[in-house]
Amino acid sequence: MALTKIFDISSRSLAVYRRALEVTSHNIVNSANPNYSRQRIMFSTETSNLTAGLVWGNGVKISDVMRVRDRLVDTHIIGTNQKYSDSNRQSQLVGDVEKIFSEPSDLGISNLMTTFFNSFNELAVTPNSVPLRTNVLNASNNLSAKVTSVNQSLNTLKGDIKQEFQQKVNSVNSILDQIHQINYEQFSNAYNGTPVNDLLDKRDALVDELSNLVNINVVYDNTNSAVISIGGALAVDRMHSSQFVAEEVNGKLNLKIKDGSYPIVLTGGELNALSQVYSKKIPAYQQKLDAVINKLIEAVNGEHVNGFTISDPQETGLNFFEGYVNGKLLINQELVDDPNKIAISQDGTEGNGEIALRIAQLTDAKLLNGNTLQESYSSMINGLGNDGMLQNNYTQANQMVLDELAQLRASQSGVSVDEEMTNVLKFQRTYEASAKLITVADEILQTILNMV
Amino acid sequence: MRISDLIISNNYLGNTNKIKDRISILNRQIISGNKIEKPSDSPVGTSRLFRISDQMGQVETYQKNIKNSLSFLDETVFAMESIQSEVMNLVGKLTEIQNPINQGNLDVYADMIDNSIKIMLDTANAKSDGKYVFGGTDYSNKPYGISLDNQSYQANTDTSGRINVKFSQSVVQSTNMPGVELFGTIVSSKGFFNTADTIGTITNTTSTIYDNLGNEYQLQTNYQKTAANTYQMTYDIVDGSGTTVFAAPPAAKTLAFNSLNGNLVSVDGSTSGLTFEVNVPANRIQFTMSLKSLSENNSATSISLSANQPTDIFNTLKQISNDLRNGIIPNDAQIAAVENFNSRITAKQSEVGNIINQISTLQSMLEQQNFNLQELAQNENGVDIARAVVDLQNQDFLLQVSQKIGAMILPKSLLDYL
Repeated sequence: MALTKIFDISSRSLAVYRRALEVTSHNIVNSANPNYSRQRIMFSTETSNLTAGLVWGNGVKISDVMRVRDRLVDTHIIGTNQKYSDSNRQSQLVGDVEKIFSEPSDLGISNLMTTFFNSFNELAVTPNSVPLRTNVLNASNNLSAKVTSVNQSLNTLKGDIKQEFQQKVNSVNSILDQIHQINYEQFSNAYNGTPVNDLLDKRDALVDELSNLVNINVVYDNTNSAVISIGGALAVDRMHSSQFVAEEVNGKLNLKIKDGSYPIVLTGGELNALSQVYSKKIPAYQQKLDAVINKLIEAVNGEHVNGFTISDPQETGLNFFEGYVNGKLLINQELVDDPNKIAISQDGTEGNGEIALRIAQLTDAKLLNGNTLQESYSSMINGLGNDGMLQNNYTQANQMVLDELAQLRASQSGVSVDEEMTNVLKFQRTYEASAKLITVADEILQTILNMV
Repeated sequence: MRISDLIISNNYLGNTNKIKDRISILNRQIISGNKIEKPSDSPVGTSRLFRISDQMGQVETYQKNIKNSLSFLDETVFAMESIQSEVMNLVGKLTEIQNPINQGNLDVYADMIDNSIKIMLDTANAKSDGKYVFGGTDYSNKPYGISLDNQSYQANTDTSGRINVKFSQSVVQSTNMPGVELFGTIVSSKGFFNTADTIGTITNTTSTIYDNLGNEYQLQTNYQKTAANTYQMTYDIVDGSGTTVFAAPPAAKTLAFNSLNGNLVSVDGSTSGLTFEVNVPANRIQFTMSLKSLSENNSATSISLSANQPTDIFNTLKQISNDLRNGIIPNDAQIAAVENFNSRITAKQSEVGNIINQISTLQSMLEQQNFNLQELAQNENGVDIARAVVDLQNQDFLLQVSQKIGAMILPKSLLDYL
């Protein structure tokens, strides 16, 4: 073996361990980056020489800088992300609906409805009392204001959800564009031999982000490009990316491919949460509230119309409520202007409060599908509460799974500074030893030269 | 398992977040005093709270109704006691008049009686809480007054209305003493019709009634079956010569009976007005015709009329006063009429007393019910403050420990020792 071979092996070693220290430092500085996957240097020996029947080693080389990543964990995280973000967003939105109804409290419809009927009950004691008549109007105004406010707030919430859905669809399109770009770049870089690990991390982070928005299915082709479909429709691969649009059809928020005919089947992600709450949950709550209010109007007016006012001239045939228009519960303006027009006298005498008594008794009447108005409303709020609790529970359960998976990913792909520092010491010592070898080789060469 | 730095920081953050979440919930509960702040905290609990809150609202209203009604009933009792005291005084005076020694001052007695009539009339027109105590439900005028020619007293309004008030889920109670039951004349048609009677069957009854001056008339009623459980009633009042007092025959009334229990359910379609007023001012005839005691059953038809006219106290006293001024001492029938009224007012006082007792008992029950409901609401939604504070302290301790441990572990790595 030529003496210069020591120089070759040592200088190669210096280059290898300098590169190893670079990778380690890259790991250390990214230890706090949650999207970063640690990189591992794969050392191997240089091809040996066979000389004079003996095998002569040629030192060390870096065969690969590997990104430590577990695809199985990634797939689970993508699936759980969709479930978590779906239930979490639904939980937040149902929570918003709960806030709008402000139950259980003195300001909720339940209590205001009780107060409304009780005000008639009190009026029946002294039917000609103007303060008690005004009290009835106040109770009615409070109920009307709350019902109107609930409907307006629900409509505002729906408007916000629709806008958010549109924004999220734009985000989906933007992410798909970026993934498409990275797919292309990583393919060409890999072809040119340029490192692609950081690019792949960036792509995986985007896939995670996308899985928070919508239900996706991800596979990787033989060029390591991510092929993603949304609800069965191809969204992106190395060659192209699709654009999606939001549309509202018959009160339902849909996602579809731009210029496509059919809506995408949403099963997860925030888009599904927004669509579900917008298209199903809020309309269902509104429908149930409408049923209660319409029945209230029908029942109260049904009694009130038969009563006589104590106004001058006396009147009969007046409705208490004017109607329920666009979510607004309207009280007959004639009554608001003149409380004496509250028609609670059955026989026209001002001391008769039979109609008030009958209206008060409506609170116990089974008016809606065998239930009282209070029971029907309570059932609706119970359903709302159950929806909220269910989504909370789903969110917590998915959060636990997600935490476990994140720990698993962090265990495999996360950086351990201790580990990296140990590597630094190890690589540094090897680098120092390699440098020393050059000195030794130099001294040997010097010795030989001195002999001459 | 390989432990990376991310695992340690995630663990630390996740756990402290859980503790802070629990602290936040406990904090909110302690401040608001409520366990259930939104339906999703406990959907079933929210439904229960609705029911309890609804019941509490109703109970509070019933309590208010009782308070207001008791005040009105107290006024009624006070007015009735005043009238009775005046009547008792009059009974004494009427007895005195029977003594020949006192018969030289009949005008003085007449003045006393006129004075008592004024006091009683004033009390009969008493008001409480904007309502005439004995005015029924018609407050358009003072219930009682004197006729334009000062010859007789009459009801100015319909004093038969009842003020019905709801005091509990199942108790609706009348809270007033209708003047007609105390001072007025009620002619009751009583008895039953045979359900087997054929359509077209006619039943007649006749009863003697009096005008306010004591003149005699005949009230004739006629019931004709027009359909199953339905009858048409016509009536007429004729004087001694058989001449009707009406310029035109009064409108016929349609009576409908319940086919199952036989009770009268409506008169001219009205389920609450089973009485109607008969008023013939030209003849000073005024009374309430009550059909409440009519029914249908399988026995042979038997209908009768009865009137309580002798207790028309104002006109009876007016007649006595007029007689005294003409030197005529009150006869036994007149004295009996005054004593009758005394008995009636005693009976009615007892009736009002019973109502007061009933709603006073209800008041106690409602107070207890309210207390129970508050306890139920507290059980459902109230926070056990002591326990919550201990829990909060415990969580706070855990947070401090975790922060301390975190501060010790998180920044450390091999780097610190190199």
